[in-house]
Amino acid sequence: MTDFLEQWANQSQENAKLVAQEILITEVTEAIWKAMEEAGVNKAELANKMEATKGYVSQVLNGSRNMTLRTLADICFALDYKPSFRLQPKKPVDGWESVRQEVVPLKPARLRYTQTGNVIVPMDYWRSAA
Amino acid sequence: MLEYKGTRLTIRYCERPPAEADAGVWTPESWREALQHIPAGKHAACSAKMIARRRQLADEGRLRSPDYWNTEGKLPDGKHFYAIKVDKLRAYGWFSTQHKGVFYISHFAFKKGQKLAQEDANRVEKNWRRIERNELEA
Repeated sequence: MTDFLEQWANQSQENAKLVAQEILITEVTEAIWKAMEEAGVNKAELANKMEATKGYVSQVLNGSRNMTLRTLADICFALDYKPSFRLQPKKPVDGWESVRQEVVPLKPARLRYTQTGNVIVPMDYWRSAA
Repeated sequence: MLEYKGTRLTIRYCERPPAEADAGVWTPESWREALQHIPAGKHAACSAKMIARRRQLADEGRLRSPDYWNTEGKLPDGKHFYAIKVDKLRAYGWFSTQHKGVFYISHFAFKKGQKLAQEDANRVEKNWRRIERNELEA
């Protein structure tokens, strides 16, 4: 079931476009903050590395100043990070859909054996043959 | 139950539609009230930002930017509650211990001053007690 916010987004193309813009801005901003956290760099230090003012960096990060691709490149350069960028169709092509991969830890199965004299018989895997 | 499912978190609202309302078209009263403090021309931008930030929280399990997220007051169990920030709008909520992987939005509010309003803190605590402690409202 969709909620009131999704309903609003689906009401018009204009709303859907606005949401798509904000999603991209949010994802990029959050990715920068993640990189800053990992690099142990705060806003003032980032501004220093970019040879910009702290106010400028604040405005770029809070969205009150538009972030250009050049600014994004400068931020990545200052943090010593390499951006990666990919466009993909929103709708699945040819009925195929990408799903999030899950890592399932596998351990080798423990084999149990019985030994009669000098004959070793696996208990779990040769049951029918034994 | 009306909820938004991301890859890491499910987001639920403490506010519920009245029994006679169509849940599909229902809007929480607190969201409507909070929006009244915002100029009409900015309603669309605020809604879009809230959608984007809620989605990010649900998919990543957290928001990092201090312009999007704030740690607010303490709950009776000593943990904090938080706010998703969109300009002066707030969605106050907490990570549930009773329901794993759920972030409850207590209510939306327009933040008037610099400090967290006591009535917002009280409302979060009341909702927290109802959901996490199964305490009935007085």
